[in-house]
Formats: sequence, C-alpha cells, structure tokens
Amino acid sequence: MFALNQIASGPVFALLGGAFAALYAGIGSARAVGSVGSVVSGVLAEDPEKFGKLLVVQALPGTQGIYGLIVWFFIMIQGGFMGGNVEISLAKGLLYFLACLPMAFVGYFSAISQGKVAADGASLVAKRPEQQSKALILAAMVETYAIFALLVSVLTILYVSGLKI
Amino acid sequence: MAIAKMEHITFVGAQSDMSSVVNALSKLGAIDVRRNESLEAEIQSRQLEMIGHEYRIEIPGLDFHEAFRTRMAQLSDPENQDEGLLSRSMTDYPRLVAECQRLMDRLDAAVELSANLAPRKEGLFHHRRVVSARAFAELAARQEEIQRRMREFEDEEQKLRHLELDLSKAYQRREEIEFYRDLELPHLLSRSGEYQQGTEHVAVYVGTVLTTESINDIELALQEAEQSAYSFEILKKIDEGAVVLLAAERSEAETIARIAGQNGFKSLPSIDDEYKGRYALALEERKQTVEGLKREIEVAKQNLEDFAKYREDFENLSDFYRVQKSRLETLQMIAQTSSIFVLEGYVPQRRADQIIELICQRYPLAVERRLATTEEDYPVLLENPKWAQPFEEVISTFALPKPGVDIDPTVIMAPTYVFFFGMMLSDVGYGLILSVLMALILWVFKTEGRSMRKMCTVFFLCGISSIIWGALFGGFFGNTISSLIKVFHIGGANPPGNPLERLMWFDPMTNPVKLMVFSVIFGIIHLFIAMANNMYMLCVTGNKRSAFTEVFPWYIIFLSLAGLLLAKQGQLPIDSKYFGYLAIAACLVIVLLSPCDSKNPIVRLFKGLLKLYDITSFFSEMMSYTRILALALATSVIAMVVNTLAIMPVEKKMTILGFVAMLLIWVFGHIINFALSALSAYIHTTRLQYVEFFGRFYQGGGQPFKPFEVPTEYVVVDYAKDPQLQIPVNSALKRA
Repeated sequence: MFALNQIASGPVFALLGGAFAALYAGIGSARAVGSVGSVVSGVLAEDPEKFGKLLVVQALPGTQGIYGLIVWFFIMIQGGFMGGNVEISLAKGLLYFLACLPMAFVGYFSAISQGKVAADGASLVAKRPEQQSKALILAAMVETYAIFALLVSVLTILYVSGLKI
Repeated sequence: MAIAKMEHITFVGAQSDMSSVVNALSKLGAIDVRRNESLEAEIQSRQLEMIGHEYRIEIPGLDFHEAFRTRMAQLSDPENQDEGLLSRSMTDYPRLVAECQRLMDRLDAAVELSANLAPRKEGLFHHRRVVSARAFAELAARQEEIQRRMREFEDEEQKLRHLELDLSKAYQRREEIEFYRDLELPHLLSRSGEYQQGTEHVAVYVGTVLTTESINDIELALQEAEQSAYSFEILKKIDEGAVVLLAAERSEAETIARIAGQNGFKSLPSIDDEYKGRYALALEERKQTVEGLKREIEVAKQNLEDFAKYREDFENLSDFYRVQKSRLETLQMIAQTSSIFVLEGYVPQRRADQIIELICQRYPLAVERRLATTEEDYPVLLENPKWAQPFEEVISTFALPKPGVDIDPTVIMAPTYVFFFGMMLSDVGYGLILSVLMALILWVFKTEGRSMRKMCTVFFLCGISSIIWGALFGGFFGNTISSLIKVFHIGGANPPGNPLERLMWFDPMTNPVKLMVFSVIFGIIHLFIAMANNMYMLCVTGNKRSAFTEVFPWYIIFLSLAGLLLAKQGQLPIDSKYFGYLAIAACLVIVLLSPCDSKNPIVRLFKGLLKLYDITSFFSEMMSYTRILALALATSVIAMVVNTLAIMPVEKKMTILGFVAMLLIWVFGHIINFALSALSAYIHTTRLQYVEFFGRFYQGGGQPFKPFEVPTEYVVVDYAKDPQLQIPVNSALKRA
C-alpha cells in the first residue's frame, strides 16, 4: 500500500503536469484537426485535385498537440525521469504542475478556435485556391497564443528546475 | 527595386489595320489595354448625329459557323487586310467570344477524354508543348476539319455511353428473369408451366415487403377496412424483407391491393408475356443480347481510341480559340469609328520605346504617350534585381503596393524573410532536405508555373539559411550526431564532441533565454526597418513633419530605453539618467509637435498623449518575435524525441532487427518533423512580415499589371521566326 505522502509527492505532480499539457493540447488538436478534416473531405468530393493545398490547411491546428508533447518532454528531461534519477521535492513538483497549466489550457482552447478558422479557410481554398496563403496566415493568428503559452510553460519549467527547494 | 514606371499609350490607326495591330500586340505581351468609355460614348453620339441611328451589327449573309471561322482566321492572320470585317459594326463580339468559349470547352473535354483513353507519359510537372508560329497559324485553315473530328469523337463517345446503358439494362433484365425463375411459384404455374394472373375468382399479386413486420401492418389495415377475403404467403425471404404472394377475391382485389400498397407492399413488375414459364429460353436470349452489346462496345472503344491520336489537334485548336478569344475581348475594348480605331493602355516605361518602334515600323499609326501619374491608379508591375524577384510572390500574395502610397518592399523584405525562416527551422539536415527538394523541382523537373518557380526559389534560399542557422545552433536532424556517438560507442571512454560544435554560436536548448533576447532584438531591428520605410514614404508624399514628429521619436525612445537598461547594469560608462531625459524629450516631441487637425491646445495635448499609447502595440509586436524561439525549440525538441525513440531498440544491444527499426523510426520521424516544422516556419515567417512588418508602413491595394498576351494552356507558340515583327518576339516576351 502506498502512503498518502508517497502519492502526493513531487514526481507525481511533475508528471501530472506534463501529462496534463500533452493531454489537453492533444485533445484540442485532435478535435480541431478532425473538424477541419470533415470540411476538407466535403471539398475534396467536389474537387479532388485540391488535396495538397487542403492537407496543409488541415495540418495547422495540429501544432498545439506538438507543443503539449514538447512541454511533456521538458518535464521528463528536467524532472530527471529520462535519466532514471528522480528527485523532486513536493514544492518543486507542484511548481512544475503549475508551469504546465498554460500549455494545457491555452493549447486546448486555441486548437479548437484555430480549427474553426482553418475549417473556414478550407472553404475559402475551395472557392479560391490562390488564396491559400491567406487562409494559412489567418489560422496562424490564433496559433500565436499557443506559442506564447508554450514559451511560458517551457521557460517556467527551466527556471523551476534551477530552484533549490 | 520599385514599382515599374508606366506609360499611358494611345494608338490611333486605320480600321483596316486594327486586327493586325491587335494581333501583333498580343504577341508582344506588354500592354495592359484599357477601355475609354467617355471616348466610346462620344463616338456613339456623333454617329447618332451623322447617320441618324445607332450603329448596328450587320453580319454579311453567311451562316454563323462559316462567319465565325472566317473571323477567327482573320484574327490569327498577321497580314490581315479585312477592310473592316472585324470592326464593331460588322462583328458581334460577344457572340463570337461565347462561341470561342463553347468550342474551347468541347475541345478541352475531347482532350481530357483522349488523355484518359491513351495516357501520355508525363513527368511530375506539366510541361507545355512548343508549337511553331507557322503551325499555329495554319490551324486557321484546319478549323473545320478538327471541329468535324471533334464532333465525330463526341458522337462516338455518345454511342459508347448508350451502348453501356443498354448493357446495364440487359443485365438488369437478366437479373429480373433469374429472380422470377428462382421464385418457383409452383401453384401459379399451370400444367403447361405458364404463369397465371390468378383464376376467375381469385386475383394473385406477387410483390415485396421491406420487413416481414410490414405484413402485420397490412393485415391490420385490411382489418380496419373490413376486408377479409385475402391471404398472404411468404414465398422467399430476402435480407430483412420477403417476397410475398397476395391472393384476394376478384371482386375486392383492387381495394385490397391498394391498401396493401399503402402499407409497404410493392408489386413486382409483370414479366413479358412471351417469357412466362420459359425462363431458360429467355435467359439464353438475354445472354446473346449481352454478348452482342459487349462486342459492339469493344468496337466502339476501338473507334474511340482511334480518335485519341488527334489529341494534339484538339489541344492546338483549343489554344487557338483561347488566343483568338483574348484578341476579341481586346477588340471589344477599343474605341472605333467606321474608319479609325483608338487603342489605349499601359506599357512599362522600360519597354515603351521598343513596343512603339516595333508596331509603328509595320503599321501607319499615330501614337500619343505620357507617363502615368499616381492619380490614375495605374497597374502595378514590380521591378527588382534578379535575386529579389522570387520574393515578389510573397508581396503579391499580401497585396501589391499602391502607386503613390507605397514603396515596393521586396528588396527590403527578402533578406529578413530568409533570415527569420532559417532561424525558425534552424537545422542543417532539414535545411538540406528543403534546398535539395526545391533545387530538384526547379532545375531537374523544370516546373513551368511562374509563381510556383518563384516560391520554390524562395524556399531554396530559406533552406540555405536554415543550414546556416542549424550550424549556429548545432542541429543536424536534432541531436542525431551525439545520439549516434552514444549508440555506437564511438571513441570509447572519451567520445568526440559534436563536430558542429566549432561552428556553433550557442545551443537554444540549454540557453533559451539568450535566444529569446536575440529574437526580440532582431524583431526590433525588423520593426526599425519598417519605420524607416514609413518615414521615407511620409517624406516623399510631403509629410516630412509627420515623419520626424510621429515616427522618428520612437527610435530615440527605444534606443534610450535600451541604453537606460544597459547603463543601469553598469555596461555603459554613462549615467543612466541621461537616457531617461532623452526618452522623455522624444515623448514630448510626439505629444507636443506632431501634426493635428485641431487648434485647441487641450485637444492637441490629449491627441498627442493618445499617440504615446502606441507604445503598447510596439511592445506586443516585439514580443511576437519570441515565436522564433518557440519554433526553433519545437523543431529541435521533436527531433530529439525522434532520436530518443530511434535509439531505444538498440540501446541495450545492437541487433540487425533493432538497427532496421532504428533506421525506420529515424527516417519516418524526421520526415514528419521536417514537414511540420517547415510549414510552421513558412507560416510564421510570413505572418511576421505581413502583420508586424507591413503593419508599420504598408497599405497595399495596387491592381496587378495584366498584359494582353497569348494565354495558351497546352502549347507554347514559338514566335521567334514570326515574319510579322522584325525582332525575335520571344526575347521581347521575356518580361522581368
């Protein structure tokens, strides 16, 4: 049997944070890529030649999932999970957990919104394929905030790992 | 490096030369023809005065198709002396344009059909065939022949469609007969084996129900209608439903059948009398029909394939009409009287002399030329040095510069585009892949599309920049080199360092804050360049005061803020307070001296203070450049994950299977990461240019220069030896 203090320990919170970031950003991206995908298939039914252009549009809201993966990776590296030497105090574990929250939440919501913009972008490309780059840029406007969240999470993880607590 | 200067040129000539002049201009591809509506209205009203009625279209007494072909021949003939047959009063332009389009559509369909019948070996990219000017001109005489062939082709195809339809009907019929045969309705067959529609007192219906439950529904409905003289029998179950026999008393049969029909009973079509009970014979007959049809289809397909060899003719004629259509549309835009024509348009100044000389040495024309002014919003053609030309595509995707309002930012933007892209992708391996791919498309497959070539060149340069940045940040497919050193135990106890290390500036993975600071610094430089553009444009358009009181002070503010920061850290030998004073002075310049429409000092003060508020947008723009760090990190972290996964199978022990697994994971993982990272780098570099950079100075909204040319789709007409023009036209065609 695990004692409570073993469960509520630093490594558990640290990994919980990493898992959170990967989970929510991943779910958001999956939902978004999925919803764009169904719009894209609708367009492809009419005009299969636009596949290349539309695939790029569909890939756009997938980046949040990757950012979640990056945050998880930083937790694994900085927490020592990959080296097999995990020594994280409870306070540090909680700080790691907090550091991951921006990526988890912003990742989830920005992916969904970006999915909406990308789906509309797919309809735009369907009607005017030469406007593809504009559709891409519009979706990327949303991604900016996921990028900021990634920076916040990663930089915080790096600073927390330097703390002596 | 600018928006090309345009000349507005007016040609006035004799009506009889009009179509030849239009023919020549289309080959030169240098004039953007414009309609002069006021002149047309003037001509029309004068004509009304002189001849008492509006001009009307009089096509001489030929049938339309004949007239169409003649006019097409005249349009394509550079020596045409038609005595005004193509003039507005003799030609119904819209109708001819429509006919061209109609024929083009049919010919294109024929081309597609022949392409399906006999696919031509083609590379990855579509290349247009080169056709000599003479062969292209000879199409005028072959119109009737090729059109006839096209119609025969269409008929043959139609015939095949009908045959195929007949075949599928025959198959359907066969299935029906088989269905009846398999039903085996013994008590419906008399001794001679014939199918009966019942007896004197009993009517019989055979039909289907979708589900067996429908029978209950029907029975319920019949009970409600107080009908009882009927009987159901399930003959055969098919999926959920069934084939059902319904027998009813003759006198009530119709009512019962109707109620059953309303509740899901579907009568089977009755079979032809002749086949009743003689299924074997019927099937044999069907079989023969099917085989006959198959043979006919085979023949029709053969015939159809014979036509596929005329594909080049169809392509040529389609392009022939495409060219004539564009000439007709230009004719439509020319102001004409019964004896002269007036053609107006814009020509890039660089080519104006040449164009006028070429046209005027052949045809007696009066020419008026003047430099286009910014008031008339002339069409925009970008002129840049060769290295910057590909980046024009990035500009025109956003918006072309507006004459008089914008400068052409291509040359200034191009280096920063390559710089930021490289920083974001920042991997020697990925940069190599990108550059090699683009080099292949450009120089091995030799793709034709002009904008495609431009974008590929942009990415080629970006790939090289990625290689350089990759070396500076020490990335070659992420940390592949050190992973390999670890896996293969190279160097034993003291492994060699990363060979890229000597070139390395710093590693963003271990020192991300440094990269963040540099991202923002590069961003500030980028914004400073944008502000310089803005100041330049303001000065040129006579807003010098605005430039020096609204834009310039920001330089002072940001530089002195940077100075303040450095001085506080003791890195500058100057007291930090002087920088503070400088910043405040610059702020005061903005608040007090910037131009304002109001004379009221309080309103002016408030408006000035509001301008200071712009600092928030400056800061958000600067922070936007931190995306460079995020994307550089994303590329290298994912590459690291791929490498970590790849070495897992061989970490403990090197086996062949493990080695293969390592290779597969490595290749697949890096391909995906390359594609996603390159896409992100492209999108976010473009965004930084469009939103942050252009946002500071660029308005856009110029209309593109669309020269009147020969718009072919399948062929390139080689006008090099065209007798009409004295110099090789193709060299003139090569525009910047």
